[in-house]
Amino acid sequence: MNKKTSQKRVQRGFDKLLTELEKKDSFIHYQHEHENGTIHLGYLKTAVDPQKLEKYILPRVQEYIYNDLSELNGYIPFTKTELAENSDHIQDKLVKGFVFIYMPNVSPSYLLVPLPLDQKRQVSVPEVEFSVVGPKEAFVEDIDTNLNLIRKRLSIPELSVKKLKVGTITKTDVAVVSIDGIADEENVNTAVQRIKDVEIDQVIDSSYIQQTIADNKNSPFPQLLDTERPDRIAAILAEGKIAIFVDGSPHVLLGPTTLIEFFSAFEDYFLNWMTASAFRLIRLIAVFFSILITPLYVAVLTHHFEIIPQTLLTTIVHSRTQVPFPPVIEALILEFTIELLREAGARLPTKIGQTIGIVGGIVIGTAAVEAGLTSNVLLIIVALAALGSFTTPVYKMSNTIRLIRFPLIIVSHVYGLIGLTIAIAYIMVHLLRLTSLGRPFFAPVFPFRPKDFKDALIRLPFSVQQKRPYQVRPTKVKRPVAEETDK
Amino acid sequence: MISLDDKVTGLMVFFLITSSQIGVGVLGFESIINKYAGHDAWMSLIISGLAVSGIIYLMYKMLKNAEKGDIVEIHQFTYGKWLGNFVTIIFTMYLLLMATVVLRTYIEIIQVWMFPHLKVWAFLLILIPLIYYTISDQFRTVVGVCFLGIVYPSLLIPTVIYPLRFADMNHILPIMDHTITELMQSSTLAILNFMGFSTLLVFYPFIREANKSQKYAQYGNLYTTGLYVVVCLVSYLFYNQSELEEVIWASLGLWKIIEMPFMERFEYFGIATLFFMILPNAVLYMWASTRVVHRTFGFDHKKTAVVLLVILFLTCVSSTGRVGVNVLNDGAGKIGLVFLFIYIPVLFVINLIRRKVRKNVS
Repeated sequence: MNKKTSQKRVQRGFDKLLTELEKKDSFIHYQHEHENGTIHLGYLKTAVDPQKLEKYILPRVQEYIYNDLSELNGYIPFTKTELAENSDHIQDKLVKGFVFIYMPNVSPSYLLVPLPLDQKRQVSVPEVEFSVVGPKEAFVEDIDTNLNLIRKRLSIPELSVKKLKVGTITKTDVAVVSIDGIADEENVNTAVQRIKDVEIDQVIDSSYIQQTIADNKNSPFPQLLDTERPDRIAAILAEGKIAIFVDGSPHVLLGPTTLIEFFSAFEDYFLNWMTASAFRLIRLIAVFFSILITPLYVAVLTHHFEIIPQTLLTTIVHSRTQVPFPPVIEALILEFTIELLREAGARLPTKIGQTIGIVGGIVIGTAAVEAGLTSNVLLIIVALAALGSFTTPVYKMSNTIRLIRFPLIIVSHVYGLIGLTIAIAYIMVHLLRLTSLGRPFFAPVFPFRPKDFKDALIRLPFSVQQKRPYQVRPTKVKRPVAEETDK
Repeated sequence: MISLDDKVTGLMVFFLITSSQIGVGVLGFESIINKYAGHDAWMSLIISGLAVSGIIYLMYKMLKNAEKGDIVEIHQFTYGKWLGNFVTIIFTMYLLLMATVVLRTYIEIIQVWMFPHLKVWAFLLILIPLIYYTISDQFRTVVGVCFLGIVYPSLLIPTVIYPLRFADMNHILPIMDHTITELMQSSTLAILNFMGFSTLLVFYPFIREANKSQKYAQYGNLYTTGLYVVVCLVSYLFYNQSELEEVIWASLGLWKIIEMPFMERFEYFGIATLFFMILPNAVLYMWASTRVVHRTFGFDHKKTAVVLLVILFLTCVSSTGRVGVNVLNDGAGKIGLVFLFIYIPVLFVINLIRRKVRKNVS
């Protein structure tokens, strides 16, 4: 009697679960007659890997001999299986790609087998940070693959991975990776604490973390570097920095970083130090040029044309004779056009994007000059400035560089060279105030650390760089170059 | 208590002292200090430098013995709480006056050389928020501005080579053509260009191992003196003394002769670059006065900064014209002279006596 009522209750529970699950799309429910009674098997078609199901589960369920679920569990070649009774819990698991197996005659519990369908992109060539020489791997969206890429390069027991879950809805895996004994505990703790404090419902990409744990959220400058290169992450981990992996994002964050690090391409380390230093300097000059040249043009032509020597002035005046606008309007129109072209090119598929570039660059440029809307000289200047901004290896930083030009142009129009100087001073003070994971962002310029300059504006040979940068406060300062030889 | 994170290394004292000393004065001191010593006035600079070095020594002596190591505490200890605080307020006003002189003189230069119709308030409207932005955060930011304010404009030092093409040794010969008294008189005029280091009395507790940092302060003063002597010598070689009477900003005149294929009128660029030397001056004075008020009365640092910057704005706007700026400069020079060479030694002596007395009592 008692047994019967409890069986009825279980039966009712099962019916309820089935009706709940029927509401979901693609729910599949099998019944199989086994010698111990009916066996139910259910899963969501879109969440489960059908090949694994057919190959490993169905034959065992149908052909093997077993008396109850735990015996069956012994035959199933998957870990993380579990027995559960709570119907909410079962629904939760089903959504994540589990299959339930139920034997109403034997026991009221359900055997849950994980068969999630893994849709992974293959590890491919880096596209954003492409380099001619050096490794050709890039991170993918799957966090385990990414961590594996790092483990391959740093197979040491000291590699520590702290996993956290962020996002009330997405519950995204976030991993803070560092090397014990090299990375500063405080940096790791800062990062972990900040990620724990994040209050957000969804984390779709690592940029969400980048923005929410930034030291100053109202800054145009990114305060954590993002990269898609596993080699770069391995290198910075060995330097004592920390990396933040986010599931679903092919970009890994690294910090604490400095402004100058944003202008170093990882390719710099694959070339010999002289070439690398020269290229790095060119990049830095390009950035200054890109930020300052258009505002300088506006400032000088609006207020101080005395600065220009007579011969050069003739050239500029000649090119401007047809132009009906003051320099600031002229400059803003052209800068806006360049931004339009870039934005259009970025939104369109690659092939059409190229076409737009050619159409915009050549046709609009030439037509604008011929129509007398802009001057030749400014066209050259603006195009070079745009080119200069694209030499920045980190995409987010190059956006910032193009953005801060606009306020500079307007200030230059109003206050001339003095205004431009004050605007630069604002940026300077802002950079002095910025920190990255609590460490100064403007180092090694200020706080002045002459030793860190070995890998800043230029890159000196590896033999000179025997100490890790002080910026990250590494626990072990000296790089163990000849650690084992004296044994 | 000041946290260790907010403190800066001893080396930074070099930049703090130097950047507080070098300011607008460097553009035109050559034609002011030669009033008594003529073409020998460059020696007066050395005398001033030595005197300033002595005052720095006295300041360090006093600061080392103060528990919290700043002027607020020294005043309270020396004069008692009420009188001490009163003297501190006068010190704050002195700092504000110096900030006004720096800004107003720089605006004057911009008005004369670049924008004759520039309104003082319009310029201050973009400058005052910048000062606030710098001083409202940690002291680190202020030091950073001072550091870059020395490093970046120092790139301009090689430009003194250009005017040397037109140098005439006869302009500074014979050496020692003036009496010691004349040299001394000129050096009192030169002191205005060394003034800013009085902020040492305020930022001292923000230095790590502050009592060992005196050498950096002395090096800073040495750098300033050296730079002034070089600039002064170059101008005296370039101009003759009667020409110097005509020009107001002799150093700017030196830049006028620089020509490059893509750029003439180098002084425009120079004035703009010099902003990075003016900014540390103003920022340091304003930070120091804010800090002093904060220490004395315990007012909120940011709110105090706002109030003091409004006062700075008003004082800058109310002093008008070339004459007004001259009066301001002369007045500040005299007050500064009295403050540094009469008040500081007197304070030192009273402080010493008080310490001795207290020691004997206990």
